[in-house]
Amino acid sequence: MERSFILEISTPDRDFFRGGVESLIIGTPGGEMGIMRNTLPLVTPLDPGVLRIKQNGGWMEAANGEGFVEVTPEKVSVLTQSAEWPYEVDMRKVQAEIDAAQEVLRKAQSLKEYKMAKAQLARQFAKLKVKGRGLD
Amino acid sequence: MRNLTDIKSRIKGVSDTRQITSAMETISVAKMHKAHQRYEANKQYFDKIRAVIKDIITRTKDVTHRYIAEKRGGRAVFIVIASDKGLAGGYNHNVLNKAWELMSEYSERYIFTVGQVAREFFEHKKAVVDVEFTHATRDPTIRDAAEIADSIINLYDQGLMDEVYIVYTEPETGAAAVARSMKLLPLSKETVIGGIEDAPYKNEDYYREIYYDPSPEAVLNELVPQYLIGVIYSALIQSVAAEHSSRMAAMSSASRNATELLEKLRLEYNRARQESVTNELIEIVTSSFGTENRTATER
Repeated sequence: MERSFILEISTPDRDFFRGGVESLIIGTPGGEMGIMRNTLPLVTPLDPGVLRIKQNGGWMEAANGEGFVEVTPEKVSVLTQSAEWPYEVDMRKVQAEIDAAQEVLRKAQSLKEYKMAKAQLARQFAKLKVKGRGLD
Repeated sequence: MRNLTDIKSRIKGVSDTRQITSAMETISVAKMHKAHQRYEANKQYFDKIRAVIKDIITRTKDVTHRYIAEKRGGRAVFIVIASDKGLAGGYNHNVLNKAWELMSEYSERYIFTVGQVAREFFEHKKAVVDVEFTHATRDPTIRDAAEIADSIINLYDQGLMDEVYIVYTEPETGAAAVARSMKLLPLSKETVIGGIEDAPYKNEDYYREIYYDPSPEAVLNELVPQYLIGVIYSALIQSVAAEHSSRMAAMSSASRNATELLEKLRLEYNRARQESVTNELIEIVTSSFGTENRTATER
């Protein structure tokens, strides 16, 4: 059996996940990163996307927003603005958010607006992704 | 003797007021429960994000960064979170006075307000409100917090300010609430902690090493805005929870006072009415006595 480490995923609205896991795969600005037990202590930003958790030999997926990850010898902390399991994703809401963000993107007057809309789109696409995979 | 109609109209007024305050109390109870649920859910994140940031700062020894460096220029920004509405007991008063006190120490200050009452307060004090955020008091969202954090970071990055403070209200157990201030930028170990214990380090030298992917500069550029959003969101949520608790307490004591006053007024009213009845009786009796006496003498 693989050796496990403690993973904590927190969002401002709830404690999303807490428990012993064998592996964690996250999206960072530098690409996908796999974290296992005894990974070098590190801090990295977290890109909106899909994070994967291996617990008891099985993989789980969740859509995450922006945030950051801290790896210490004691535990791995993921702090993100939002996190959702596939079954929690509401397709209609996601579609509405995507439409709104694309509208903003078209009319964007400033770099700030543009960036925020881009980030919003990335978050929603991540949700679509986990939902789509959950179905098949 | 007081005028009966006067007392009657006062009773009407007081009982109308009591109706309003008790309705507001009921609404506040419902809102407070919701706000406190969010507060409880958020509290762990708030503690966690501060603990993690503190941990990172502790382990970061040789990194210089504009968000960490201590600057002394005396230009400070204050984000003041109050309510959109009054009638919440000392809630607005406490947080605004706390902010005002803190501000007096700085020569050059910028004021960012959340909530109508905060804006009115500073306008009344003849202080210029630089940025005003609306809609963030009723049902704060991450996006509201992101908007505030973004404008702060923008100004900070341009070198227009040296320090950033946030003044908000923390709900305490029971109905009491405490106004608090917190230094957001620049980050230092002392400003982030606020009652959080050091993580236990078994071997100082080993644990001090921390790797930044891709680079310390790039990580802090991303991480500090995230931290600000998280903390501002928490402050908004805490303030909303505190506001509803304060309003509930204020309204319940107002209703209680109104009930007491009503009792007194009713007593006074009854007394006055009895007095007038007695007076009328006396008049009737005396006059009837008078006529009886007159008829008796006539006979």
